[in-house]
Amino acid sequence: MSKSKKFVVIVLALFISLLVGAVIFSMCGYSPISAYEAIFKGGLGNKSAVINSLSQAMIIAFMGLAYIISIRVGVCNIGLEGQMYVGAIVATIFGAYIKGLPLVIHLPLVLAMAIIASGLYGSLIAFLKIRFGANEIITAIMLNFIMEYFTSYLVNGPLKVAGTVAQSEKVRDSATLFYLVKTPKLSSGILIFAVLTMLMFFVMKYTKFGYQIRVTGENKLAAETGGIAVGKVMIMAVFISGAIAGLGGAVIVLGVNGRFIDGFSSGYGWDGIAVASLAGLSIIGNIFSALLLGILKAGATVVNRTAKIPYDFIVVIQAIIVLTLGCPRLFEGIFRFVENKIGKGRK
Amino acid sequence: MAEVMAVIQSILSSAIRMGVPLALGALGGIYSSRAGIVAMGLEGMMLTGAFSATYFTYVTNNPWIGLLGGMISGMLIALLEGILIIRFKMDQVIGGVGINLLALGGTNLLMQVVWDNRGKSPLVPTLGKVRLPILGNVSIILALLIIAAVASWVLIYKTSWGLRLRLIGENPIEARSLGINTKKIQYTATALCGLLSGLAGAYMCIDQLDFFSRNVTAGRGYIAMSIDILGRYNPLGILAGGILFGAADALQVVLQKFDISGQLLQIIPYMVTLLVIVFAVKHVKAPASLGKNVEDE
Repeated sequence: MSKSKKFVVIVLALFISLLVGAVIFSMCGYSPISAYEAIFKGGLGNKSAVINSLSQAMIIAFMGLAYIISIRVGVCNIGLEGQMYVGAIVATIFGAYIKGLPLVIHLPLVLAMAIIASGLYGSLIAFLKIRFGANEIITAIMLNFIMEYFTSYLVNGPLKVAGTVAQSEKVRDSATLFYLVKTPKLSSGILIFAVLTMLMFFVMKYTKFGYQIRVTGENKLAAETGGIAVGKVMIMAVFISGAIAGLGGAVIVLGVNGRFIDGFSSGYGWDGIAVASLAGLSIIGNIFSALLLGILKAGATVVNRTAKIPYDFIVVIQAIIVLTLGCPRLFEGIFRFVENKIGKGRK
Repeated sequence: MAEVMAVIQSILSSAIRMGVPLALGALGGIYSSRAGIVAMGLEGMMLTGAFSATYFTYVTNNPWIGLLGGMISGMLIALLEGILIIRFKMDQVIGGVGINLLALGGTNLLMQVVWDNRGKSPLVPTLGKVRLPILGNVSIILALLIIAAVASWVLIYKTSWGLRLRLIGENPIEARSLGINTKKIQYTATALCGLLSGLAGAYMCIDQLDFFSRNVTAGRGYIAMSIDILGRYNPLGILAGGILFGAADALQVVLQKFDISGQLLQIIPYMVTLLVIVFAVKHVKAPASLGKNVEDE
């Protein structure tokens, strides 16, 4: 598909998803226009709304980037959620329980541990596939559930801080990411994401490793014949994908919530798949689609409070985005139809 | 001695109780997999079936109508996935992810629209039980499951339709060259998969429980996918697999008596699934075309 067509497809899919959203609002007894107005106001209406949206977008963008890297190498990493939990819990443990280190050592150490642990958790899926032939979809989903409940156990049990809320202790100041804006807080995690995006863009486009990832993703057999160690490239790419998701989890702990709160994820891993689809799997496009979803999510939280619009409409919109953009042939039929019409009109 | 017997009996009967929806979903997954389509959307089909069964039971006050509603809804969402994959050649895994998201968001949303409650539905009447020796009171759906498994075995291994279905799973291009209408059989298999997973979901909410709650299936669809592999895509094999995984599910209920954290117990079924998939099912040959879409002529 040409670039301009791809763009039209994305706009069309977005339109369809928002249309479905509109149907949902009328079902709940709201006028769709005023509901969307309220959502965008809730997501962009004032300074704190904008910052909330940016915070949301930042986390989703990490997940989207992680997913894109995995797809590039030909693996569909649906274990993002589990990898994010690993990054978050490791950041919590190293961030809250190591004392006496200066920030310049503590913070990089915590981030490095989160990256390594979540990267390993991600490549575990590829390892089990290559070594034991285990179905990667099932292992990824099981690892998600296991980590979700295991971290939940930790913050309900051994790591629980006194009080009614199931949450860990606060991470130390020496492990906290500084804030770009103080009130309401906007984490410098956004800078980490920006650097990461540029880095991945560069790696994918200009380095030998990026080339190997691309070739492996496009055609494994050709890659092998071309002398690429396919297995190694795949494990490394999935490691990077998992590490990015884990870094997202670490940023939530170190820069947004300040601690591990039980059930903090509203399905960020799945958000990642939706924004990556909406971005047409483009690393740069991911920024914009994450921003849009971040605004929608932040706005949805607000209208969920003020009007009684169920928050879950966001998940339905995401599902429609995945189902339409994940299915390019759906639009090819439409294009053919339109082209035929125009062709006839000219005659 | 009598106490030990009582414990064994209680574990066995809860293993069966927990195993029924897993085996039903897995049975549906066999049809889909045998037709070369990854049963990734099982989770969503089960969840849709669970919600619809509760909804129709709530509206009509008749669990049998609810059961039917659950099965038909399961079939409809399966056919939606089927159209995207069979007609529009969508990537099968991503198609399943989309369907599961749609079911998750959709059921949570409708729950709030219909019952104005974020957590669970009101209580609804349930299907009746039948009394059997040793097992005690069991669900009628258990009987349905056994009949369906045996019937599926006959259908898949002893009829010409089953032969064609299996050929499509192994080599769809050859099947087509023999003049078999591969798409028609794939749609039929998808519909059967949806009906059975809808039944599985219905069982969870209008038999095992008497209400629908947020994400009530909690990954049971993916566990059913694993049972398909463990049971070698054979309808009788999945009955045994269903009980095994049902036991893992039941174990967490039995262990609740002891002072173990609830979250740790909840890990058990997923951990068992992971271990089984990694260590116990080597050399299971999946249908050769599973997961691959074939271009139309």
